[in-house]
Amino acid sequence: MKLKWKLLALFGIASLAITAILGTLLYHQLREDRFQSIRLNTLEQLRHIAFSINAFFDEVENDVHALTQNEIVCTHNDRDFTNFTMADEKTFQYRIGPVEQNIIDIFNAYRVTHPYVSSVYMGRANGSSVRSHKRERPTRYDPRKRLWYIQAERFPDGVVITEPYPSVTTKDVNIGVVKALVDGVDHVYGVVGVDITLAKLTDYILNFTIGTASSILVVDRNGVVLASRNRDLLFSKIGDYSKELGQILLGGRQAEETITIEGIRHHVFFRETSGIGWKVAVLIPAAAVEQEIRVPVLLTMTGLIFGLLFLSALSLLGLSAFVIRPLDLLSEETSVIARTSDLSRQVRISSKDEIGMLGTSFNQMITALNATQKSLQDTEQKLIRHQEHLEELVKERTEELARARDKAQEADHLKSAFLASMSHELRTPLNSIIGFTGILLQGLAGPVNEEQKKQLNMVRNSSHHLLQLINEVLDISKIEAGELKLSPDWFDLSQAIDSVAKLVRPLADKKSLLIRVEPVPPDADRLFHDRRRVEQVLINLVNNAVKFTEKGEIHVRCERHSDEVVVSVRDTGIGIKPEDMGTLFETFRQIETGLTRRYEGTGLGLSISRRLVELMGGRIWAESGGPGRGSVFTFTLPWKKEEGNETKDSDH
Amino acid sequence: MKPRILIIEDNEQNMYLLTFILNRNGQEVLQARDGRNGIDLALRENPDLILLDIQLPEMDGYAVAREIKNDPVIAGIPIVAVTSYAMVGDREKAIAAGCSGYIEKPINPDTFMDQIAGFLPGMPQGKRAVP
Repeated sequence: MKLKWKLLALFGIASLAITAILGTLLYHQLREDRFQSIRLNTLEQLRHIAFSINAFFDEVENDVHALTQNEIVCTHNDRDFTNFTMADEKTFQYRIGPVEQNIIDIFNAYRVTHPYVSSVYMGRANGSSVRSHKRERPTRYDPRKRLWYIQAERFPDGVVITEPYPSVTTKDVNIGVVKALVDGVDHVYGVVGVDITLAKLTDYILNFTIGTASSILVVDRNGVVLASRNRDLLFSKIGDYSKELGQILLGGRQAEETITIEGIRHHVFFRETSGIGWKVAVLIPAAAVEQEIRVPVLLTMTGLIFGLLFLSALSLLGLSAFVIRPLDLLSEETSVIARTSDLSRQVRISSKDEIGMLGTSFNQMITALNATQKSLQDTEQKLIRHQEHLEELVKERTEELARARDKAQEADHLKSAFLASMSHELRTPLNSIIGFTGILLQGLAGPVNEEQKKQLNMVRNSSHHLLQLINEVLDISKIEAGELKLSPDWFDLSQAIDSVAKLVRPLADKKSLLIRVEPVPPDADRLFHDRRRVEQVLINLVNNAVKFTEKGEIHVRCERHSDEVVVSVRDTGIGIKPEDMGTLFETFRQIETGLTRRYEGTGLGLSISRRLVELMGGRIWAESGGPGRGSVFTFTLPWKKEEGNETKDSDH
Repeated sequence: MKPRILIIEDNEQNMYLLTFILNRNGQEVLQARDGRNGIDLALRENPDLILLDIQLPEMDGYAVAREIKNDPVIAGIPIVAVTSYAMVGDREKAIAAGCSGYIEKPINPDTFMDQIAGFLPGMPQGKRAVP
């Protein structure tokens, strides 16, 4: 989540919390304030109403009292007054005398000047009646039997207010305010009354407006509704409308309560008027109070929310401008650098605050990194140059070595060519010497005597020796030049040994030495090697044995040990000194015995033998019991089983 | 009819030696001192066997053998190389050039006739050239 959105969420949550808390507090405070204000206002109004009602009734009572004191009205001469006690509606005739007419005028004057007075009237003990205006129908009527007359008669000293009663003539409810006419001996001789229309009272009371939703009730001391905006309630018992309200109103002189009427909560305030004991009540629906404060609360809340939103927007804009955007820029730049590894870039933040410092530090870091990288690159370049230089050096050296190798090979070739040439040049004269000596000895050119034959034989032996020398030198050269190639093929070891023995036997015979060849074991007979080279080794060893043995025998034997064949040539000759063992197989190392002449040889035989055996994958070694105790020369050759059993033609 | 053997050899002593041995053993000998003459002589005389020295002036023995073997008229004549060349592969080279046998110099007068006997017509199949 981006920083911007986090901040936005934070602001949102903070705004909501603030609004909620302030809203709740404000709502409650406002409601309380408003309620108190309404309450005080209501109580004040109630006081006014109660006072007004009291004043009103005081005035009416005074007026009625004044009427009873009027000399004309209180006359005792009431014999001729209109009397309905015996009246017949059909036959009745008004006969109003001047006294009565005077009283009627007084009554009418009062009625006209007091609009809430519906009628003024008087009853006399003789049953006569005087009225401010005529009755609608002259029916039989006895005032002395009327409640108002009876009540007034019962309290002759005071003004009596009657219970409300429905008007006979109109739909109004009237209340009678009556006073007995009393003479000096406490004798009641009549009652003067004024009827007050409560419709007018209601209108009067309702002039007091206490909030739009409130309603005012006036209830008399018996719980009868006298005034109400709801005209259906008029003259019904308040207990029928709301039992709870009835109990409150009739239970005391004043109260403030909150009750439920017809499912709606109302605040009830009432006050009893001091005189007649009426209860004036104001009912205010609780919802009305809340309704009234809803608008201000909503307005305040809306204002608050807008204010917070404005603050948030401003803060966000500020944060965005001073923090988030620079941070975005920084993060974008760092990610670009991380992605492209381009250390030549710089972050563009110019502010002097913490973000600016961060940017500056970042730039310094990049510069440092750049420098490090440059130095690394330089080092790398140097390394590469060194490497190139090294490669050049290696190349040069390699070329030098190649040249040296070519030279060496060239020299080698020259050596080989020289040896080949020498060999040829040496053999060509030998060819003649050996050839002609042979011819002479064969007698092809004519008979030769014994002495000549003996001398020719010497020539031939020397020639052969020379040839052998040449051949051995040539062999060793070839081996050293690595030019001696083997031509391995299958052959019988026994045949090779036989032919060698046959070749050497004449020499052995001359020294009366026995060459004893042990039968070759069948499992060692077939070999896959260069027969000519195997024979060469054998010849060399047997020849040496014969050469260095004066007496006794030469014993040739062979056997197979797992994958190699071991051939040994044992003699009973002069043996080998231990100190000579080490150099026995080295080139040109014929053992210096001082008997060189006696033991002709190049000294190359054993060296060649060793090289040939090793070339064929075998080993060769010598053992001796010491000088004069004979010696054993042994060599091994790798052996492998012959596949199939075809006898290959030994020819190429 | 005596077998006729052509010797191609530039060394007088060797030529004499070989001729002497062969004559004494009843063979007729034709002599050539170089390869070109040898080939001409072979074409002209159609010998039974050619003894061929390898180291010859101008045209060496290998070339001579190849030319003879490439000429259908004389390709059938067996050739035995007689040479003091004894380096590696000499024998193989000689065989590759078309020689049937190979005798290393110096020759042994005692065994020489046996060595060439196998290549002569009408003679019993004896031991062939020593490898």
